[in-house]
Amino acid sequence: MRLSECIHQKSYERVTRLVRRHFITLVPALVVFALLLTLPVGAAWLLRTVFPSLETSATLLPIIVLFGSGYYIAVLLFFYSYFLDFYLDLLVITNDRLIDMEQVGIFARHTAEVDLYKIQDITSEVKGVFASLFNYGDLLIQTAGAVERFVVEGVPRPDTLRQEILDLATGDRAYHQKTT
Amino acid sequence: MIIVPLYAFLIIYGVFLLACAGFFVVNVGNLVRTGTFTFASLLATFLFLSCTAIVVWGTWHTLQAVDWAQPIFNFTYASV
Repeated sequence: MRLSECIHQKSYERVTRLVRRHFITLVPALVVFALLLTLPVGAAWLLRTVFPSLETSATLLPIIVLFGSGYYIAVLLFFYSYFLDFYLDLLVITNDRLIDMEQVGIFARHTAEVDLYKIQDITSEVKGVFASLFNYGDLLIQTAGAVERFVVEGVPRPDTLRQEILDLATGDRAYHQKTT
Repeated sequence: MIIVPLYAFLIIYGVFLLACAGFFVVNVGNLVRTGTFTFASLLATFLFLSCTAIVVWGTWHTLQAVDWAQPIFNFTYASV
């Protein structure tokens, strides 16, 4: 399935921007991932020191190896799922709509959309040391649609994005006023 | 007398691998459904699969010479 099918793209509609969270928001999880990968190494050293007979045990060593293998696969799978959770959070900006797709875990997905001409107000926020350094932040979009408030977190260059969406919304409002 | 062989843990490990494979398939299904097969997502998928393959191969290589039929637990009822 392509993105155009996923968002039920209309014939006159074209995708102007695809916005994902800034990659730097993934760094804390990567640090935790690296730490979790090194945990079994420390545990193995500790076991060898405290129970040196374990290395030659014909029954316990296979169980420990299987447990360690399962641990590594679980950590890899957890962080693969975490990355996809990050990567599948997508803000699709077209010349007609704003579509916010948010992956919530593996088994849930939340999608909200609003017509551009219904956007009333957009606020961009950049808070914190890393956010200021790497220029990423949140967009709070006030709308007259069914979803009154969109919050898009951790987007790069929120000020530029805010202005871009406002310009598109102004253009779409003018088009709708002309045709009605 | 109840004997629990070592291959019981191998069966548990196999079931665990199947469960992980199921979660992986669901993740790839999410990628397909959202049309987000890009370089980044394919790279992440490739890295996950290759690291998992390395772990499984390393486990198999380490445990090649193990006698899986040997008993771990041996429960004997005392006869009255």
